[in-house]
Amino acid sequence: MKYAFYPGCLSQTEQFGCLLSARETLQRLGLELVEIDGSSCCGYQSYRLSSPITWNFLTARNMVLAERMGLDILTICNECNLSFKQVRKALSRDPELKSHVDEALSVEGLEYHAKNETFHVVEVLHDNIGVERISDFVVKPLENLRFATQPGCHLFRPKALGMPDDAEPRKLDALVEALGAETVDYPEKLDCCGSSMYASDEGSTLELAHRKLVSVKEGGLDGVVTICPHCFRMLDASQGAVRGSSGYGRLRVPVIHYTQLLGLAMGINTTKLGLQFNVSPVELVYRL
Amino acid sequence: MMIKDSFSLNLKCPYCDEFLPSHRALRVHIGRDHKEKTDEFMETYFGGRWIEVDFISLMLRRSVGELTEESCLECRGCDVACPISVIHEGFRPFDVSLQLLEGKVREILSSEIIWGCTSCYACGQNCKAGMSPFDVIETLMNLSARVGYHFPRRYKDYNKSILRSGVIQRPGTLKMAELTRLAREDVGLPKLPAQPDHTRFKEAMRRLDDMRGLQ
Repeated sequence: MKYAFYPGCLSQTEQFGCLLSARETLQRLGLELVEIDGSSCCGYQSYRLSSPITWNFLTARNMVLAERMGLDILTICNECNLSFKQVRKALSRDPELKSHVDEALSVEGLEYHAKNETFHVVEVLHDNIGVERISDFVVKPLENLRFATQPGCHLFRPKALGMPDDAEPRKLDALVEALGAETVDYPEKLDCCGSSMYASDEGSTLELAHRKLVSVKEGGLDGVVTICPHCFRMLDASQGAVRGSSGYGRLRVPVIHYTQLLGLAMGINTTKLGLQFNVSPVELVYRL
Repeated sequence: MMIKDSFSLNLKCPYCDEFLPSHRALRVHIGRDHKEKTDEFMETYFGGRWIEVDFISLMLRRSVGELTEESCLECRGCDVACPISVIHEGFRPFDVSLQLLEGKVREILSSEIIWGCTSCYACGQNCKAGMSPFDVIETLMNLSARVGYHFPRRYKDYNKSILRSGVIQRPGTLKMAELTRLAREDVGLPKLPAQPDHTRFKEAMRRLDDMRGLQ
Protein backbone atom coordinates (compact mmCIF):
# COMPACT_ATOMS: atom_id res chain seq x y z
CA MET A 1 0.00 0.00 0.00
CA LYS A 2 1.16 3.49 -0.85
CA TYR A 3 0.20 6.49 1.29
CA ALA A 4 0.84 10.22 1.36
CA PHE A 5 2.65 10.46 4.69
CA TYR A 6 1.63 13.30 7.00
CA PRO A 7 3.58 12.96 10.27
CA GLY A 8 2.49 16.28 11.81
CA CYS A 9 4.63 19.01 13.38
CA LEU A 10 5.53 17.45 16.68
CA SER A 11 7.20 14.25 15.49
CA GLN A 12 9.21 16.22 12.93
CA THR A 13 10.48 18.93 15.24
CA GLU A 14 10.62 17.46 18.75
CA GLN A 15 9.54 13.88 19.21
CA PHE A 16 11.89 12.24 16.73
CA GLY A 17 11.47 8.76 18.16
CA CYS A 18 7.85 8.74 16.96
CA LEU A 19 8.85 9.72 13.42
CA LEU A 20 11.88 7.47 13.02
CA SER A 21 10.20 4.37 14.42
CA ALA A 22 6.99 4.91 12.44
CA ARG A 23 8.87 5.27 9.15
CA GLU A 24 11.10 2.29 9.86
CA THR A 25 8.40 -0.14 10.98
CA LEU A 26 5.67 0.87 8.52
CA GLN A 27 8.02 0.47 5.59
CA ARG A 28 9.15 -2.93 6.82
CA LEU A 29 5.49 -3.91 7.07
CA GLY A 30 5.28 -3.22 3.35
CA LEU A 31 3.86 0.31 3.23
CA GLU A 32 5.25 2.91 0.86
CA LEU A 33 5.29 6.39 2.35
CA VAL A 34 5.47 9.46 0.11
CA GLU A 35 6.12 12.99 1.43
CA ILE A 36 3.55 15.65 0.48
CA ASP A 37 5.33 18.48 -1.31
CA GLY A 38 3.97 21.92 -0.40
CA SER A 39 2.08 20.65 2.65
CA SER A 40 1.67 22.81 5.75
CA CYS A 41 0.65 22.49 9.39
CA CYS A 42 -2.97 21.31 9.84
CA GLY A 43 -3.80 24.34 11.99
CA TYR A 44 -5.52 22.38 14.77
CA GLN A 45 -3.24 23.74 17.50
CA SER A 46 -3.34 27.33 16.30
CA TYR A 47 -5.78 28.81 13.78
CA ARG A 48 -8.62 26.55 14.95
CA LEU A 49 -8.82 28.73 18.03
CA SER A 50 -8.61 32.15 16.39
CA SER A 51 -9.84 31.71 12.82
CA PRO A 52 -11.75 28.49 12.11
CA ILE A 53 -12.03 29.32 8.42
CA THR A 54 -8.23 29.46 8.12
CA TRP A 55 -7.94 26.13 9.99
CA ASN A 56 -10.43 24.56 7.57
CA PHE A 57 -8.40 25.87 4.65
CA LEU A 58 -5.05 24.59 5.99
CA THR A 59 -6.35 21.08 6.65
CA ALA A 60 -8.34 20.88 3.41
CA ARG A 61 -5.32 22.10 1.46
CA ASN A 62 -3.21 19.19 2.70
CA MET A 63 -5.95 16.74 1.72
CA VAL A 64 -6.14 18.31 -1.73
CA LEU A 65 -2.36 18.11 -2.22
CA ALA A 66 -2.46 14.38 -1.42
CA GLU A 67 -5.50 13.93 -3.65
CA ARG A 68 -3.53 15.47 -6.51
CA MET A 69 -0.94 12.73 -5.95
CA GLY A 70 -3.75 10.16 -6.15
CA LEU A 71 -3.08 9.00 -2.59
CA ASP A 72 -4.85 8.57 0.71
CA ILE A 73 -3.22 10.21 3.72
CA LEU A 74 -1.61 8.32 6.57
CA THR A 75 -0.93 10.35 9.70
CA ILE A 76 0.77 9.30 12.93
CA CYS A 77 -0.68 12.18 14.97
CA ASN A 78 -4.03 11.95 16.79
CA GLU A 79 -4.64 15.68 16.42
CA CYS A 80 -3.91 15.83 12.70
CA ASN A 81 -6.24 12.87 12.29
CA LEU A 82 -8.98 14.65 14.24
CA SER A 83 -8.38 17.77 12.19
CA PHE A 84 -8.84 15.88 8.91
CA LYS A 85 -12.04 14.24 10.15
CA GLN A 86 -13.54 17.45 11.50
CA VAL A 87 -12.76 19.54 8.46
CA ARG A 88 -14.05 16.86 6.10
CA LYS A 89 -17.35 16.82 8.00
CA ALA A 90 -17.60 20.61 8.20
CA LEU A 91 -16.97 21.03 4.47
CA SER A 92 -19.48 18.36 3.53
CA ARG A 93 -22.16 20.00 5.65
CA ASP A 94 -21.54 23.67 4.99
CA PRO A 95 -21.45 24.67 1.30
CA GLU A 96 -20.79 28.30 2.23
CA LEU A 97 -17.69 27.34 4.19
CA LYS A 98 -16.57 25.12 1.32
CA SER A 99 -16.95 27.97 -1.15
CA HIS A 100 -14.76 30.23 1.02
CA VAL A 101 -12.14 27.50 1.39
CA ASP A 102 -12.24 26.85 -2.36
CA GLU A 103 -11.80 30.55 -3.06
CA ALA A 104 -8.60 30.55 -1.02
CA LEU A 105 -7.48 27.24 -2.58
CA SER A 106 -8.00 28.70 -6.06
CA VAL A 107 -5.03 31.04 -5.47
CA GLU A 108 -2.86 27.94 -5.92
CA GLY A 109 -5.10 26.44 -8.59
CA LEU A 110 -6.57 23.90 -6.14
CA GLU A 111 -10.11 22.78 -5.32
CA TYR A 112 -11.48 20.54 -2.57
CA HIS A 113 -13.28 17.40 -3.79
CA ALA A 114 -13.06 15.03 -0.78
CA LYS A 115 -11.99 12.20 -3.06
CA ASN A 116 -9.23 10.73 -0.93
CA GLU A 117 -9.38 9.22 2.55
CA THR A 118 -7.32 9.97 5.64
CA PHE A 119 -6.13 7.27 8.03
CA HIS A 120 -4.60 7.20 11.46
CA VAL A 121 -1.72 4.79 11.94
CA VAL A 122 -3.83 2.65 14.31
CA GLU A 123 -6.44 2.16 11.60
CA VAL A 124 -3.75 1.05 9.16
CA LEU A 125 -2.03 -1.26 11.67
CA HIS A 126 -5.08 -2.73 13.37
CA ASP A 127 -7.78 -2.63 10.68
CA ASN A 128 -5.85 -2.89 7.40
CA ILE A 129 -2.75 -4.95 8.22
CA GLY A 130 -4.33 -6.72 11.18
CA VAL A 131 -3.08 -7.94 14.54
CA GLU A 132 -2.34 -11.45 13.28
CA ARG A 133 -0.12 -10.34 10.44
CA ILE A 134 1.71 -8.03 12.82
CA SER A 135 2.46 -10.97 15.14
CA ASP A 136 3.95 -12.74 12.11
CA PHE A 137 6.62 -10.03 11.98
CA VAL A 138 7.64 -10.53 15.63
CA VAL A 139 11.07 -12.09 16.03
CA LYS A 140 11.69 -11.08 19.65
CA PRO A 141 8.43 -11.53 21.59
CA LEU A 142 8.12 -9.05 24.45
CA GLU A 143 7.34 -11.63 27.07
CA ASN A 144 7.03 -10.83 30.76
CA LEU A 145 6.40 -7.15 30.10
CA ARG A 146 3.28 -5.44 31.44
CA PHE A 147 2.34 -2.08 29.97
CA ALA A 148 -0.20 0.65 30.51
CA THR A 149 -1.46 2.04 27.20
CA GLN A 150 -2.17 5.68 26.45
CA PRO A 151 -4.47 5.69 23.41
CA GLY A 152 -4.95 9.48 23.58
CA CYS A 153 -8.33 11.24 23.57
CA HIS A 154 -8.58 11.79 19.85
CA LEU A 155 -8.15 8.12 19.04
CA PHE A 156 -11.70 7.52 20.33
CA ARG A 157 -13.38 10.88 20.95
CA PRO A 158 -15.59 12.51 19.74
CA LYS A 159 -17.68 9.47 18.93
CA ALA A 160 -19.85 11.27 16.37
CA LEU A 161 -16.90 11.73 14.02
CA GLY A 162 -16.20 8.03 13.58
CA MET A 163 -12.82 7.98 15.28
CA PRO A 164 -10.36 5.07 14.87
CA ASP A 165 -11.44 3.30 18.09
CA ASP A 166 -14.55 2.86 20.27
CA ALA A 167 -15.49 4.63 23.50
CA GLU A 168 -13.68 1.89 25.41
CA PRO A 169 -10.57 1.78 23.22
CA ARG A 170 -8.85 -1.60 22.88
CA LYS A 171 -7.04 -1.40 19.54
CA LEU A 172 -3.73 -0.12 20.93
CA ASP A 173 -3.91 -2.80 23.63
CA ALA A 174 -4.50 -5.48 20.99
CA LEU A 175 -1.53 -4.19 19.00
CA VAL A 176 0.71 -4.31 22.08
CA GLU A 177 -0.51 -7.80 22.95
CA ALA A 178 0.31 -8.92 19.39
CA LEU A 179 3.97 -8.38 20.33
CA GLY A 180 3.75 -10.76 23.28
CA ALA A 181 3.44 -8.18 26.05
CA GLU A 182 0.57 -7.82 28.49
CA THR A 183 -1.57 -4.68 28.87
CA VAL A 184 -3.12 -3.57 32.14
CA ASP A 185 -5.89 -1.02 32.59
CA TYR A 186 -5.36 1.86 35.00
CA PRO A 187 -7.84 4.50 36.22
CA GLU A 188 -6.43 7.38 34.13
CA LYS A 189 -6.21 5.41 30.88
CA LEU A 190 -8.88 7.45 29.09
CA ASP A 191 -7.85 10.81 30.52
CA CYS A 192 -6.25 13.57 28.52
CA CYS A 193 -2.45 13.90 28.61
CA GLY A 194 -2.87 17.68 28.74
CA SER A 195 -0.84 18.46 25.63
CA SER A 196 -3.47 20.72 24.05
CA MET A 197 -3.22 23.03 27.03
CA TYR A 198 0.56 23.18 26.83
CA ALA A 199 0.46 26.53 25.07
CA SER A 200 -1.84 28.20 27.57
CA ASP A 201 -1.22 26.61 30.97
CA GLU A 202 1.93 24.55 31.24
CA GLY A 203 1.62 23.95 34.99
CA SER A 204 -1.79 22.27 34.83
CA THR A 205 -0.68 20.28 31.83
CA LEU A 206 2.23 18.79 33.74
CA GLU A 207 -0.05 17.94 36.65
CA LEU A 208 -2.27 15.90 34.32
CA ALA A 209 0.71 13.98 32.96
CA HIS A 210 1.99 13.47 36.47
CA ARG A 211 -1.24 11.82 37.62
CA LYS A 212 -1.02 9.28 34.85
CA LEU A 213 2.63 8.47 35.51
CA VAL A 214 2.05 8.07 39.26
CA SER A 215 -0.78 5.65 38.56
CA VAL A 216 1.45 3.57 36.27
CA LYS A 217 4.27 3.58 38.80
CA GLU A 218 2.03 2.57 41.66
CA GLY A 219 0.56 -0.18 39.51
CA GLY A 220 4.06 -1.66 39.27
CA LEU A 221 3.92 -1.72 35.47
CA ASP A 222 6.92 -1.82 33.15
CA GLY A 223 6.00 1.37 31.34
CA VAL A 224 3.52 3.30 29.22
CA VAL A 225 2.96 2.76 25.50
CA THR A 226 1.77 5.83 23.56
CA ILE A 227 0.51 6.13 20.00
CA CYS A 228 0.18 9.93 19.68
CA PRO A 229 3.25 12.23 19.55
CA HIS A 230 1.43 14.69 21.84
CA CYS A 231 0.88 12.09 24.57
CA PHE A 232 4.46 10.96 24.05
CA ARG A 233 5.74 14.50 24.57
CA MET A 234 3.80 14.94 27.78
CA LEU A 235 4.68 11.57 29.30
CA ASP A 236 8.22 11.13 28.04
CA ALA A 237 9.86 14.48 27.31
CA SER A 238 8.08 16.38 30.08
CA GLN A 239 8.64 13.71 32.68
CA GLY A 240 11.68 15.53 34.06
CA ALA A 241 9.67 18.74 34.47
CA VAL A 242 6.75 16.95 36.10
CA ARG A 243 6.74 17.69 39.79
CA GLY A 244 3.22 16.98 40.92
CA SER A 245 1.51 16.78 44.25
CA SER A 246 2.23 13.09 44.85
CA GLY A 247 5.44 13.54 46.82
CA TYR A 248 7.48 11.40 44.43
CA GLY A 249 10.74 12.88 43.28
CA ARG A 250 11.77 11.73 39.83
CA LEU A 251 9.23 9.22 38.63
CA ARG A 252 11.44 7.32 36.18
CA VAL A 253 8.59 5.60 34.33
CA PRO A 254 9.69 4.23 30.93
CA VAL A 255 7.58 5.68 28.11
CA ILE A 256 7.81 4.07 24.70
CA HIS A 257 5.98 4.92 21.50
CA TYR A 258 4.05 2.02 19.95
CA THR A 259 6.06 1.92 16.73
CA GLN A 260 9.27 1.81 18.81
CA LEU A 261 7.92 -1.18 20.73
CA LEU A 262 6.84 -2.80 17.48
CA GLY A 263 10.33 -2.24 16.08
CA LEU A 264 11.95 -3.85 19.12
CA ALA A 265 9.76 -6.90 18.69
CA MET A 266 10.66 -6.97 14.99
CA GLY A 267 14.32 -7.05 16.00
CA ILE A 268 15.16 -3.59 14.64
CA ASN A 269 18.20 -1.78 15.99
CA THR A 270 17.37 0.77 18.74
CA THR A 271 19.04 3.67 16.89
CA LYS A 272 16.83 3.16 13.86
CA LEU A 273 13.83 3.38 16.18
CA GLY A 274 15.04 6.67 17.62
CA LEU A 275 15.16 5.25 21.15
CA GLN A 276 18.21 7.42 21.83
CA PHE A 277 15.84 10.41 21.72
CA ASN A 278 13.57 9.16 24.51
CA VAL A 279 14.06 11.12 27.72
CA SER A 280 12.45 8.62 30.10
CA PRO A 281 14.50 5.54 31.15
CA VAL A 282 13.28 3.48 28.21
CA GLU A 283 16.35 1.22 28.39
CA LEU A 284 14.60 -0.45 31.33
CA VAL A 285 12.22 -1.87 28.74
CA TYR A 286 14.57 -3.08 26.05
CA ARG A 287 17.30 -4.39 28.31
CA LEU A 288 14.90 -6.68 30.09
CA MET B 1 -21.10 45.39 23.03
CA MET B 2 -24.63 44.00 22.85
CA ILE B 3 -23.95 40.34 22.68
CA LYS B 4 -27.05 39.35 24.61
CA ASP B 5 -29.17 41.15 22.00
CA SER B 6 -27.88 38.87 19.31
CA PHE B 7 -30.23 36.19 20.62
CA SER B 8 -33.33 38.37 20.52
CA LEU B 9 -33.18 39.10 16.78
CA ASN B 10 -35.37 42.10 17.38
CA LEU B 11 -33.18 45.16 17.30
CA LYS B 12 -34.65 48.62 17.44
CA CYS B 13 -33.01 51.25 15.29
CA PRO B 14 -31.71 54.02 17.57
CA TYR B 15 -32.67 56.72 15.03
CA CYS B 16 -36.21 55.69 14.07
CA ASP B 17 -38.90 53.25 15.17
CA GLU B 18 -37.98 50.40 12.90
CA PHE B 19 -37.20 46.92 14.30
CA LEU B 20 -34.60 44.79 12.55
CA PRO B 21 -34.08 41.02 12.67
CA SER B 22 -30.26 40.99 12.87
CA HIS B 23 -27.20 43.12 13.37
CA ARG B 24 -26.43 42.83 9.72
CA ALA B 25 -29.92 44.06 8.80
CA LEU B 26 -29.59 46.89 11.31
CA ARG B 27 -26.28 47.91 9.81
CA VAL B 28 -27.70 47.86 6.29
CA HIS B 29 -30.68 49.87 7.48
CA ILE B 30 -28.46 52.52 9.08
CA GLY B 31 -26.26 52.68 6.01
CA ARG B 32 -29.26 53.14 3.75
CA ASP B 33 -31.71 55.23 5.77
CA HIS B 34 -29.45 57.14 8.16
CA LYS B 35 -26.31 57.51 6.09
CA GLU B 36 -25.13 60.59 7.99
CA LYS B 37 -25.24 58.63 11.25
CA THR B 38 -23.19 55.65 10.06
CA ASP B 39 -19.87 56.59 11.67
CA GLU B 40 -21.47 57.56 14.94
CA PHE B 41 -23.49 54.34 14.97
CA MET B 42 -20.49 52.12 14.32
CA GLU B 43 -18.45 53.81 16.99
CA THR B 44 -21.16 53.95 19.63
CA TYR B 45 -22.54 50.47 19.23
CA PHE B 46 -19.71 48.33 18.06
CA GLY B 47 -16.54 50.28 18.74
CA GLY B 48 -15.70 49.85 15.08
CA ARG B 49 -15.92 46.10 15.38
CA TRP B 50 -19.09 45.36 13.45
CA ILE B 51 -17.60 42.35 11.68
CA GLU B 52 -16.71 40.82 15.03
CA VAL B 53 -20.21 41.41 16.36
CA ASP B 54 -21.74 39.68 13.36
CA PHE B 55 -19.36 36.82 13.89
CA ILE B 56 -20.25 36.55 17.55
CA SER B 57 -23.96 36.48 16.82
CA LEU B 58 -23.61 33.82 14.17
CA MET B 59 -21.15 31.59 15.97
CA LEU B 60 -22.93 31.71 19.29
CA ARG B 61 -26.30 30.98 17.77
CA ARG B 62 -24.77 28.14 15.80
CA SER B 63 -22.93 26.42 18.61
CA VAL B 64 -25.16 27.23 21.54
CA GLY B 65 -27.93 25.84 19.33
CA GLU B 66 -29.25 23.00 21.42
CA LEU B 67 -27.93 24.28 24.72
CA THR B 68 -30.90 25.86 26.51
CA GLU B 69 -32.01 25.98 30.10
CA GLU B 70 -34.50 23.23 29.31
CA SER B 71 -32.16 20.92 27.44
CA CYS B 72 -29.35 20.88 30.03
CA LEU B 73 -30.27 18.36 32.72
CA GLU B 74 -27.86 20.00 35.16
CA CYS B 75 -26.46 16.58 36.03
CA ARG B 76 -22.90 17.96 35.95
CA GLY B 77 -21.80 14.85 34.09
CA CYS B 78 -19.54 17.14 32.04
CA ASP B 79 -17.71 18.34 35.17
CA VAL B 80 -17.27 14.78 36.43
CA ALA B 81 -15.71 13.68 33.14
CA CYS B 82 -13.53 16.76 32.66
CA PRO B 83 -9.92 16.01 33.67
CA ILE B 84 -9.18 19.74 33.94
CA SER B 85 -11.91 20.27 36.54
CA VAL B 86 -9.78 18.26 38.95
CA ILE B 87 -6.57 20.21 38.58
CA HIS B 88 -7.48 23.65 37.25
CA GLU B 89 -9.16 25.81 39.80
CA GLY B 90 -12.28 27.45 38.44
CA PHE B 91 -12.58 25.51 35.20
CA ARG B 92 -15.87 23.61 35.00
CA PRO B 93 -17.66 22.97 31.68
CA PHE B 94 -21.00 23.20 33.46
CA ASP B 95 -20.18 26.59 34.97
CA VAL B 96 -19.22 27.93 31.55
CA SER B 97 -22.52 26.68 30.09
CA LEU B 98 -24.45 28.15 33.00
CA GLN B 99 -22.78 31.55 32.68
CA LEU B 100 -23.53 31.51 28.98
CA LEU B 101 -27.20 30.72 29.53
CA GLU B 102 -27.31 33.64 31.96
CA GLY B 103 -25.99 35.84 29.18
CA LYS B 104 -22.67 36.54 30.89
CA VAL B 105 -20.70 36.24 27.67
CA ARG B 106 -18.54 39.23 28.42
CA GLU B 107 -17.50 37.79 31.79
CA ILE B 108 -16.52 34.48 30.23
CA LEU B 109 -14.56 36.11 27.43
CA SER B 110 -12.68 38.50 29.66
CA SER B 111 -11.52 35.79 32.05
CA GLU B 112 -8.84 33.39 30.88
CA ILE B 113 -10.59 30.36 32.30
CA ILE B 114 -11.83 28.81 29.04
CA TRP B 115 -8.24 28.50 27.82
CA GLY B 116 -7.75 25.67 30.31
CA CYS B 117 -9.77 23.35 28.03
CA THR B 118 -7.66 20.66 26.33
CA SER B 119 -10.33 19.71 23.75
CA CYS B 120 -10.38 16.12 25.02
CA TYR B 121 -14.14 15.84 24.37
CA ALA B 122 -14.76 13.91 27.59
CA CYS B 123 -17.52 16.37 28.62
CA GLY B 124 -19.62 15.58 25.55
CA GLN B 125 -19.16 11.86 25.96
CA ASN B 126 -20.57 12.05 29.47
CA CYS B 127 -23.45 14.45 28.74
CA LYS B 128 -26.76 12.81 29.61
CA ALA B 129 -28.57 15.21 27.26
CA GLY B 130 -26.26 14.31 24.38
CA MET B 131 -24.84 17.81 23.97
CA SER B 132 -21.24 18.90 23.56
CA PRO B 133 -20.13 21.53 26.08
CA PHE B 134 -16.77 21.45 24.29
CA ASP B 135 -18.21 22.90 21.09
CA VAL B 136 -19.54 25.83 23.08
CA ILE B 137 -16.20 26.35 24.83
CA GLU B 138 -14.33 26.17 21.52
CA THR B 139 -16.61 28.84 20.07
CA LEU B 140 -16.02 31.00 23.11
CA MET B 141 -12.25 30.59 22.62
CA ASN B 142 -12.71 31.73 19.02
CA LEU B 143 -14.67 34.73 20.17
CA SER B 144 -12.22 35.61 22.89
CA ALA B 145 -9.36 35.52 20.38
CA ARG B 146 -11.27 37.33 17.66
CA VAL B 147 -12.68 40.14 19.73
CA GLY B 148 -9.30 40.63 21.32
CA TYR B 149 -9.95 39.59 24.91
CA HIS B 150 -7.41 36.83 25.21
CA PHE B 151 -5.34 34.62 22.96
CA PRO B 152 -2.34 32.88 24.56
CA ARG B 153 1.01 34.13 23.28
CA ARG B 154 2.22 30.70 22.18
CA TYR B 155 -0.78 30.29 19.90
CA LYS B 156 -0.12 33.74 18.43
CA ASP B 157 3.45 32.66 17.73
CA TYR B 158 2.22 29.44 16.11
CA ASN B 159 -0.10 31.43 13.84
CA LYS B 160 2.67 33.85 12.84
CA SER B 161 5.01 31.00 12.08
CA ILE B 162 2.44 29.19 9.92
CA LEU B 163 1.81 32.39 7.98
CA ARG B 164 5.55 32.79 7.43
CA SER B 165 6.56 29.23 6.57
CA GLY B 166 3.48 26.99 6.57
CA VAL B 167 4.50 25.19 9.75
CA ILE B 168 4.63 25.89 13.49
CA GLN B 169 8.30 25.06 13.50
CA ARG B 170 10.44 24.25 10.49
CA PRO B 171 11.88 20.75 10.84
CA GLY B 172 15.65 20.96 10.85
CA THR B 173 18.35 19.21 12.80
CA LEU B 174 17.43 16.58 15.37
CA LYS B 175 18.25 17.72 18.88
CA MET B 176 19.04 15.17 21.54
CA ALA B 177 18.78 15.55 25.27
CA GLU B 178 22.52 15.99 25.71
CA LEU B 179 22.52 18.76 23.10
CA THR B 180 24.11 16.85 20.26
CA ARG B 181 22.53 17.64 16.93
CA LEU B 182 22.04 15.28 14.03
CA ALA B 183 21.14 16.05 10.44
CA ARG B 184 18.06 14.33 9.01
CA GLU B 185 20.18 12.27 6.62
CA ASP B 186 22.37 11.06 9.52
CA VAL B 187 19.41 9.13 10.89
CA GLY B 188 18.14 7.96 7.52
CA LEU B 189 15.28 10.44 7.10
CA PRO B 190 14.40 11.45 3.54
CA LYS B 191 14.64 15.02 2.26
CA LEU B 192 11.99 17.34 3.66
CA PRO B 193 8.99 17.89 1.41
CA ALA B 194 8.99 21.19 -0.49
CA GLN B 195 7.66 24.20 1.42
CA PRO B 196 4.43 25.83 0.26
CA ASP B 197 4.88 28.41 -2.51
CA HIS B 198 5.37 31.37 -0.22
CA THR B 199 3.75 34.13 -2.30
CA ARG B 200 0.63 32.21 -3.21
CA PHE B 201 0.24 30.65 0.24
CA LYS B 202 0.40 34.10 1.83
CA GLU B 203 -2.10 35.48 -0.67
CA ALA B 204 -4.54 32.64 0.14
CA MET B 205 -4.13 33.33 3.85
CA ARG B 206 -4.74 37.05 3.24
CA ARG B 207 -7.97 36.28 1.39
CA LEU B 208 -9.12 34.14 4.29
CA ASP B 209 -8.50 37.06 6.61
CA ASP B 210 -10.87 39.14 4.49
CA MET B 211 -13.45 36.35 4.57
CA ARG B 212 -13.36 35.84 8.31
CA GLY B 213 -16.11 38.38 8.83
CA LEU B 214 -18.43 36.30 6.68
CA GLN B 215 -18.01 33.13 8.66
